[in-house]
Amino acid sequence: MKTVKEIAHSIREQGNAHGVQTLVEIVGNRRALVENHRGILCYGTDEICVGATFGSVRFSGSDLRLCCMNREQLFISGRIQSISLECGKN
Amino acid sequence: MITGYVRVRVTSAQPEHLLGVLSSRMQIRDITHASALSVEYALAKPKMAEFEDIMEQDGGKWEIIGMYGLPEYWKKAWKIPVIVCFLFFLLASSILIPARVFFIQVQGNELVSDQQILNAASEMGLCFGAPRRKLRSEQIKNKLLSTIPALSWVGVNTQGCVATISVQERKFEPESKDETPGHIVAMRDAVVSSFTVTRGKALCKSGQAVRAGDVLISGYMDMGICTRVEQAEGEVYGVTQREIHAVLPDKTKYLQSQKDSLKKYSIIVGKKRINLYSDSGILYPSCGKMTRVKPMTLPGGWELPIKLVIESYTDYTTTIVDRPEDQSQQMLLDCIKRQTLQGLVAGEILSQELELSHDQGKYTMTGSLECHEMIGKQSSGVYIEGDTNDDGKNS
Repeated sequence: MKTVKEIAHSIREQGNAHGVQTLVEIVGNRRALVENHRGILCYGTDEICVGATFGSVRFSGSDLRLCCMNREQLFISGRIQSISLECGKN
Repeated sequence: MITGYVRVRVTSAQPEHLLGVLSSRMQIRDITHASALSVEYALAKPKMAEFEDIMEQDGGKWEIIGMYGLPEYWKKAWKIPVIVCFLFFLLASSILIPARVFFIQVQGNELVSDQQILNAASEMGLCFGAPRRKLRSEQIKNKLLSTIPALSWVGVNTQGCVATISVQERKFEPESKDETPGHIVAMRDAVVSSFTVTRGKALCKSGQAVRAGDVLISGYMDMGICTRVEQAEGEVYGVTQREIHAVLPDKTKYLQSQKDSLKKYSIIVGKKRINLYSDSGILYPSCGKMTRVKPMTLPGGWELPIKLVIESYTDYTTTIVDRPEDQSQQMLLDCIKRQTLQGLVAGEILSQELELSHDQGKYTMTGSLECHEMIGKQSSGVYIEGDTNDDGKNS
């Protein structure tokens, strides 16, 4: 029976094997970190849509704002009510 | 923060696309929506040239909202004179203070005073504010040793702005005893009460009355086969009578202050005095003056060469009043006892018979004191019987 750690490690290994994948990390419902993004598709206080390797990630909520952004990472803060993954051609 | 950052407002048809382009080239922070087409964000100041290039290619409008960070704060601080002066003072202090001596301490001295050592050292340049590089410890040491013979060794060390003068005083050997042959003779007329002979031969006994000059312990000892001549040693106590005659005027001057005291201030910097008053400070004969000196000290007891001198002047009127008899009697009695005890080599006053009289503007106390004191004293030169020269005089 695999442990949670072993499962998480195997997921990362699979991700690396298929190239650099977009990684979304959420801290509670207030902060989210997106790594290996493909830019901002739409930006507003209620909704932020971030491009991903598989399509896009849509953050919905209130008082959303981009705290920090560079080529690989972006950091979103605010009240996140929902996160949806939209698959598309990238 | 160290390089500074710039907050800009960008208006573009596709602000999200522009965000992606900018983020691929630099880090942007605090991204906020100003309007549907305007976005504000902060970027590092060194990246402004690159930002301007991107904006020129994009064609959007942008403006600087504010500039922040250490360089901006520094520019604002330079406009405030107090901060500029303070920074210059800090810089000057950090350069000058460690290079100069501001405090001097003396260690190892017991009999020689600090002031004496410091005065001699200041003649060779070791004083407040002296540059450390110009101090010559050998010259200071030689000066101290030549000026103060009581010192046997001197060392001068500096650490930071403190100079330490370490000294070692010369140890004087106790004077050797005078071995000249002599007797113990009576200093005054007395009745011998007790005696102790440590060397010599006792020529008195308890209860014997002696006169001043009588030999009490002889340095001449007959050993039978030879005669031993040495300095007699011992203690002889006796009861003496002292005649007393003391006089005190029956009138005295009484000082009464007329008004509140006047204070004048001066500052002493090093050896120079700065008077903070305009007149000459010369007093009338009826004024009393009290001077207080307050040195300026730093935490830790370090004294700076700056002192505040406060002189208080009080104008008095003198009134001549009669001295009360009981007060006069007590004053005379105290004076007599004090003077008598100072005159005794060792001993005490046993009893007194004194009378007070008041005549011709004075109080007079006469009488006698009975004292128990040491009456023996050493006298050099031993007279040896039978040892005469040709003219018949004793040698």
